[in-house]
Amino acid sequence: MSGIGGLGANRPDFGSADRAELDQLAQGIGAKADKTPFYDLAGSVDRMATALAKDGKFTVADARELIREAGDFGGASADERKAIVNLIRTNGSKITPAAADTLAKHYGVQLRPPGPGPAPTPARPTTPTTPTTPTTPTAPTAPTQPRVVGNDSLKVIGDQSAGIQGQAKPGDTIEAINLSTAPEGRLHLTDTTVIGKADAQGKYSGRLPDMKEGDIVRLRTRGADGKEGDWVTIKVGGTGAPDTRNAAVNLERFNLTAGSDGTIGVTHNTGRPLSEPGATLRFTNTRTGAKADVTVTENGSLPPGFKLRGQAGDSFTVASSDGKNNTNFAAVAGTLQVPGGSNGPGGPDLPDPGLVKDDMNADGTSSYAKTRFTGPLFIDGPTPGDVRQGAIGNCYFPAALAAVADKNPDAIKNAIKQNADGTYTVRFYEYGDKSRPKDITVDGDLYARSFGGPLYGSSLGGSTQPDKMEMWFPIIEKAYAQWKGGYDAIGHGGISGDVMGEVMGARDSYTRLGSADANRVFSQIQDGAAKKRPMTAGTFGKEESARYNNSGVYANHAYSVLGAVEEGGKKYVQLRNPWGQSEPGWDGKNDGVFKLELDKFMKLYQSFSRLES
Amino acid sequence: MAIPPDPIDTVLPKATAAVVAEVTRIVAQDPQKPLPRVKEGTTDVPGQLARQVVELRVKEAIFGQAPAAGGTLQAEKPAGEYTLAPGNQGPFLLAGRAGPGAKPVILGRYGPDTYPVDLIKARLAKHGKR
Repeated sequence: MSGIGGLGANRPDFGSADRAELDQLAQGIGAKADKTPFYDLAGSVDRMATALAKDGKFTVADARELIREAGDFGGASADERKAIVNLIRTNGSKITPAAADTLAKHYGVQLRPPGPGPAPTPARPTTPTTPTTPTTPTAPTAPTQPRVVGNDSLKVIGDQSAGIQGQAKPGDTIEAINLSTAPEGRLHLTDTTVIGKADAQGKYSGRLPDMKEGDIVRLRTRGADGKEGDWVTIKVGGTGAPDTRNAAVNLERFNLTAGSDGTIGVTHNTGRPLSEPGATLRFTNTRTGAKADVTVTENGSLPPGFKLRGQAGDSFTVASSDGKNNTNFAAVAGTLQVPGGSNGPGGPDLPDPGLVKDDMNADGTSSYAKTRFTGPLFIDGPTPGDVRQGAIGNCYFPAALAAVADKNPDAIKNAIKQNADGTYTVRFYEYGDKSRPKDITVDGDLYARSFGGPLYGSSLGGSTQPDKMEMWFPIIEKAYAQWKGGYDAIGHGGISGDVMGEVMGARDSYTRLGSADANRVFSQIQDGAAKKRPMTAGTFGKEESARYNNSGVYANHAYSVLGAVEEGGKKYVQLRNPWGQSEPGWDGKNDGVFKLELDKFMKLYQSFSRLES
Repeated sequence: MAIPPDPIDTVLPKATAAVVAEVTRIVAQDPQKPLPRVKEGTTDVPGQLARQVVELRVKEAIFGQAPAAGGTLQAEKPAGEYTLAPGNQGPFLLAGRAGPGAKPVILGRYGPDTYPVDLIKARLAKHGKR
């Protein structure tokens, strides 16, 4: 059995262990030289030494803590390994046999059996010399045992050169999540993947397809009764590949709030990791140059209460390092903006329409911060390609606005103006009645995903950065939401013909396609295009979605109608998906624009609207 | 509500398998709650279509642990924006589940119509799927 020399008095004698064996033990503690900053291994070593000095015992609990601190993430620096070795050497005689066995077994170190060895070295002056017995032949050093990390329900054995292997209760499934890639995948901490099942001997083997050297992977068991075991976390090693994947950062997760005391509160949904556990994030205030580093917790979160120095309207660049890559933080993951600033760029801060209810926290507060956008109202004039529907159920609105931009861009230009104070005023018409104008003034604040992209309607094709994005569509959408009572009021369905009328002060004609003559509809579309009349079409309800399978057209959805053409003896209707993507035929452009044979149009679409006069 | 699909790069990491398959039968379906009655011509009508358990006949296994072509599997279509019928086909992204009797769940806001198969295949390498 593995053990430590000098057990004559039931006390281990590390003095009988030679340097090579102690180095093996040290190597078992830390396979890599990179430091995992979020645990204090050096501090643990100091605590062990203090405890030993106090009561003269290095207990099994101490050994387990040292293993947990040093072993689970495999990242002890050379200095830390040296500290551990010195700790063991200087206090070896105080280490209980059980603790020593735990250490040796865990790190797969088989030290020589008890026997007389050389006198303790001068480096251990405070260690009492244990009486030795006559030297016995040296037993050959047994092969190093594979490293084992884990708990009572799950053990991971060895490195990951052949995947993740280990021992669990027979029949238990093993599920895992790669915490290094989870931020990019927008996963929750519990979005695990089943990688294997323990066989009758309790052995399992599996892998996560995206895991690479240096990744942090968390595993647990799940019994047949559905009961989950405790988590075990490992750092992937032994694959033979270099660790080149830096810690990712999901900037969408951050919410920045300016306080009144010169600080910026930084919060996020802690149910989803925003970066790799143990990574360092560096925030740099672009206005002041001040830098702040923070270590990501074991759950991929920021420590509670983390704050930056700054004010409303400030921007912060964010860079990350896993201790191995981007250690100078030169590569920046992105920029975060602190919303607000009543007299900042873009003018005063006006009341904003409320979020869609699904985008609010349970306590009624907003899940998303607002960012002040100051980009140009128009870049190349309003075009249908500018319009992109956001994460809101209002396809009827962008379909209508894209249709107006297509046939009457001047109507868009005339509908919206930027005021001297940086706000915008948009003119609508109640019930499409030109005698009933309704002016709505809004500022440039848009609910955003913190990295700069709007949550709702945005501009397609160009930048979504706050100072660059083309603003006309998201501003008109915001003004419409403000008029109607909030984004929630406009985010649960509507009629695109009504919107076209409200924008242009006219009424639309409505055609139910099921009972209409196809050629007549074709002529109506051609005529409308020639007369520059905005047009839209709507599909059948979602309960009929099965018949849209493989058609490239979606149920319960509104489209802009751009025109009608005849080619090769066939008639086609030209349409645009307000998503700005996903069109039949997948022609590679994925811009939402397509043409559909007339008979298919008549079958898949329920309604057609055309603005009149 | 005709909300755009989530970007594929946020969905593919959750998938444990992908197949091109055809729905052969509806194994089970939850009762459908009535959808709101709205004026004709309205789009983006809210409400969810009921959860279903469907049997899929695999035409092509794209990645992950899935039956080979010709094999079948049962999967769960969660309550949401679309419904499946026998004969529906296309690429299905599946997320495996643990636990007794658990069936993989079909990912993507619109099921097999969320992402084209060429796009899925083009993104496999980026997400380490094979």
